[in-house]
Amino acid sequence: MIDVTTDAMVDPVADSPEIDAAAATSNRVPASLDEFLASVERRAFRLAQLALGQREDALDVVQDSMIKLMQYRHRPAGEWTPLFWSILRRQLTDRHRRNAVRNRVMNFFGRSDDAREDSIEAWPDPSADPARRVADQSAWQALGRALRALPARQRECFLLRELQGLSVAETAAAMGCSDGSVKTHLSRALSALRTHLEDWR
Amino acid sequence: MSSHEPEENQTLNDAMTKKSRALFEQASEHLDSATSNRLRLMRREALAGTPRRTPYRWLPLGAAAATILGIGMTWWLPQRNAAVTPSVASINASDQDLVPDDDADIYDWLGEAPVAVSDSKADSP
Repeated sequence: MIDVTTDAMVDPVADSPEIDAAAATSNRVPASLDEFLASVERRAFRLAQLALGQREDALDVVQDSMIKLMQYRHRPAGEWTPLFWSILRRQLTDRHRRNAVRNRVMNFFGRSDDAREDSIEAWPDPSADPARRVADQSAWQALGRALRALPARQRECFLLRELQGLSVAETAAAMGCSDGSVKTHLSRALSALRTHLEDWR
Repeated sequence: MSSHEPEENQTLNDAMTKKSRALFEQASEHLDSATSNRLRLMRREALAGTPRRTPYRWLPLGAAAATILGIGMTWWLPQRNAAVTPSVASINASDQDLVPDDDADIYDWLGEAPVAVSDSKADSP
């Protein structure tokens, strides 16, 4: 899969079957807004949780995104997917800024705000054996920490393109940048994550 | 495969993204019931157009209004007190009013009248 872009970067998962499957699911036009939101709410929550590291913040962001999407309810159903992820991305950016200000204030008063990050929660897959659940939980937490250490644009790119499975064009539309920028951000994100997630080798 | 990216890195990227995606799918599929219910409720409220219930929504606005009010009162009250406080000239003028013109002779006489001095003070050097 040779794909040299204008930035001499490669889209590392251009032929990935998992991405294609997720994209196919997301490209299916929903019959109603209720159906659409029901199909994306869980993924949106998990994505926000990875980005923010805090369950309540993630729920707030998803709720705000749903409410804002209502303003576009008269748009064609085919536009809901890119619109929703674009709204969610902006909400995440706003929440990150707000949390950064709060951290600065807390640090000024000599208090650390790290306690806001969720403690380890039980991995919610009851079918897996305990050892596997602990390993998966640990890997999930490590992924979240590694993602939160990335620059915002790289993190957004990885979340939308790799995890949510949007196409390069959809990711670019959600992020408000060009396809080439998406590939550049993604390549840099993967490079940084390789360093952060060395234990996964 | 890009000539700029070593094959080993590409393999690592593939493995890492595959594992990340598997974890994400698993986590999204298996949500605890409390979170699932909250998401469902949020969806219903959003679709019904119910405004978001945020109890502290107006707190920043209230704090800002209180601050502005405090600054305004601090600026306004000293000016008001200064307006109420009489000036020195007006105090002097009112002191003069205490002595009626008709009785001025009496006060002149009192001022020139001899003062009684006690013996002990008179004998002292």
